[in-house]
Formats: sequence, C-alpha cells, structure tokens
Amino acid sequence: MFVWADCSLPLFLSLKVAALATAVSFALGTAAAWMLARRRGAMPAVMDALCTLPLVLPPTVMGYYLILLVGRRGLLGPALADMGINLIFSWEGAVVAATVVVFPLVYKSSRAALEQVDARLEDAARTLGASELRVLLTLSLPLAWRGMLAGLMLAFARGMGEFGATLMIAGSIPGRTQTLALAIYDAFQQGDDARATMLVLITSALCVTVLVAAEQLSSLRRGRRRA
Amino acid sequence: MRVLLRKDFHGPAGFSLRADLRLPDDGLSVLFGASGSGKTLTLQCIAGLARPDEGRIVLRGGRVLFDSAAGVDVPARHRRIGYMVQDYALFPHLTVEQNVAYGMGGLLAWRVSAKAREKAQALLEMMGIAHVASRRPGEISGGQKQRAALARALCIDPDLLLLDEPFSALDPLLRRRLRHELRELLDALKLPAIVISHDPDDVAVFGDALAMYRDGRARVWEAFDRTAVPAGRMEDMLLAAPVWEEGG
Repeated sequence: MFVWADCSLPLFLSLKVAALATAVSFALGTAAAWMLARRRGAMPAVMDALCTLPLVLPPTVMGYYLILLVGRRGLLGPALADMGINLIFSWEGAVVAATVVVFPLVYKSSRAALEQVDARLEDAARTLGASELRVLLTLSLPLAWRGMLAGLMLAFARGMGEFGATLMIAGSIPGRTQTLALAIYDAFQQGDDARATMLVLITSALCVTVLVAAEQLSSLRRGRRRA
Repeated sequence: MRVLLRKDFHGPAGFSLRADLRLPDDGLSVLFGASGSGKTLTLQCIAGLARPDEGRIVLRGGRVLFDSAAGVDVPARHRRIGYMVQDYALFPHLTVEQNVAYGMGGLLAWRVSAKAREKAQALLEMMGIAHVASRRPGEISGGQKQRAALARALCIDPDLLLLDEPFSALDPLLRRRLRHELRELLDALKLPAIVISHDPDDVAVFGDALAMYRDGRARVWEAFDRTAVPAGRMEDMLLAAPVWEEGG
C-alpha cells in the first residue's frame, strides 16, 4: 500500500542533510581552497591529495574511517560523548558522512574558481594596503562566487544521493536517518515496488533539476565572458 | 633611493636579473630597455610583489623595504608604494569611485566611509573623471581607465609611484597629451616616480634619471641629461648609449 509519508520523510531528511552538508563543506572547502590556491610544492600537493581523497575512496571505506574517528570507541568518540554529541545512528552523523563525501567537489571547484581570478588584480589590492583576508573577501570571492556556485549545486546533488558512508555511520532508521537513497534500497529489499519507484522518480527529478540549474549558471558565465 | 637586486629563474628558459641602481629621491626615473629585460620584475620587487633572491631596497630617508642580509622584507601592503600596471588592473566588480577609494576601505568593498568618499571625489575631480564615478571599469574609455588607476594609486598617499608602461595601451595622440599632464601632476604633487617604458618619447619627458636594461642587466646612465637632447634625437641617443662600456 502506498503511503505518502513513506516518501516525504526520506525526502525532507535528504534535503536537510544535503543542505547542511553543502553549507559546512562550503565553509571548509573554500577555506582549504584559499589556503592551497596558486601554491606549488610537495606539501600543497599532499594536502590537495588529502582533500580530493573522499572523491576516490569507496563511500563505505569513508564510512569506516569515520567510525574509527567518531565512533563510540573511536579516536574522538569519548570526547564527543562528553560534549553530549552522538553521531552514530543519528541524522547528525548522516550530515557528517555527506559532508565528507561532498567536500572534494566544493574544494575542487572553489580552488579552480579562485585560481581563475586575475592574479594582477589581487596584486593591485595588496599594493593598496589590503591584507590577505581583505583580498579574499573584497576581491577574490566576489569575482569567483559564480564558479563556486556550480560546485555547490553539484555537491548538493551528490549529498542527496549519499548511501554508503551514511549507512555505515547513521544506519538506515526510518524517519530518523533513512535518507532517499537508503529508503530506495529498503523498499527494494522489501519488495515494495510502488514505494521504490516513487522514491526513484523523486530523487531523479531533484538531481536533474539541480544539474540543469548548475549548467545554466555555467553557460551564463561563459556567454558573459564571450561578450 | 637604492635598488640592489639579484633574482634567478632556473629551468630551460632561465633568466637572471642583476640590478644595482642608485636613483634620485626626488623626480622621475625611467627604466628603459627591450621587453623581457627585467624592468617589470624590478618594479615588482620594489612593490613587494616579487621577492629577490638577494639584495637591498632602500627608499628616501633610509626606509628599508627589503634587505636579504638582515632578513627584512616589508609586506606589499605596508610599503606605501603606488603601482600602476599596463592594463590598469581596475576591479571590474566595483565602480570607479569604489576602485579609487579601495585603499582606504574596510572588509566590505562596497561600504565606502564618508572620509574615503570625500578623498576619492577630490582625486576624481583632479583627474577630470568625476563624471564617470559611478560607472564600472568595463564602461569607460582607455584614457579614463588610466586616470582612474592613477587616482586609485594616489589615494593611499604613496611615497613613491611605479608606472609600468603607462601609455602603451593608448593611441599615440592621447599619449602625447597625457604624458605632459602626468609630468605636471607628479611635479605638482612632488611625488617621485619610476616609469617603465620602451618609448623614447617617454624618456624625453620623464627621464630625469635613466636606467638602461639589457637581458637582465641594469645600469644607470649617469651622464644622461634629457634636457640636453635635441628634439627628435632621443631615439638615436638611446640606441648609441655608451652605458655598457666602462665609465658610461
């Protein structure tokens, strides 16, 4: 039997998790991009590889590393427990998992966008007395934000579909941590085709919408540059 | 002022810059030489945008900007040097007024304090571009851009002005007019300046002192006197410069 709540709950949970993951990875990814932009050498190369790693590692591997880090018996587990934070089997854990997975997308696009800003403009700002932070806020970000936006939309779409790491950390608890991708798998396993189909359609529609919007944004920029 | 620099770039297109220049504290100096001979790199080192491997940069009054031996390297933002590049590097997302006032601003580029606005307005009027204050750099002419870039550099009350081929992007007739205007302006402000050029006409107007550049070697032509060169003969003079021989 088809119940709308069975679809709306995972949908809203996914939207919440993806939005928060995108916001957090925007802050962290942009900071990392700023620190590594235009730098060459061994250390920056290693840092860049670390930032890109979650893109390449299987999500379940990322999930495992996260459990080692923030699990009850993990590295930070006791410290987090003292602060009253529990990430295992909670929606906050789903956010952490999604953040780690989408971070490379934001980092890479932010870095590319920042490096495309004309370095001579940044040099001019420095001679006019601007600190590095002022250069970032008044010059680099205003000129790079459109490029970053495309990366953010991609991150959001990816965050919507996160499965492996989320399953490891947050489990698949209906109503609490069962995001869209997990709900689809659950419905499929239980043979509830109606539910599975509905969820698949919703997820697909959302992802396509986000990707189309991101592409429109990119072509807007390209068109402007040509003019 | 004294500029002593050594900077090497390794690799297949290796280039090294060796400059030992004593330039007057007041008045204007020209760095003259072919493209790629190290003139821009010299200005970048003086402005703090490039770091010499070794050397000393001292402005008038003994103000040390860079001294590799003593480990001194004043960051660009504290050097109080105005720098104008060939294509002006105006900020495209800000209006002309916001560009000019940038040096006096805080963390939000579009919030211009009353004091900064006043100063920017005064400079815009002095340069004759107050009527384009609220336009963006993409909407104004080359000559207006040049004046805006100059106003922006002057807004920070610099001790020294660096100009990298200030007229190369403008058509020849405009160039002639602006050249004399710039000379008058710098004289009126008593602002010392170093101008990069490979145009003999610039040397004739700005060359109180002249440094010759060739393949990364730079030397001041001590005996050069621009006022003693007959009209139209500057190019010949420069071509025949004896500066590379001993005692030149």
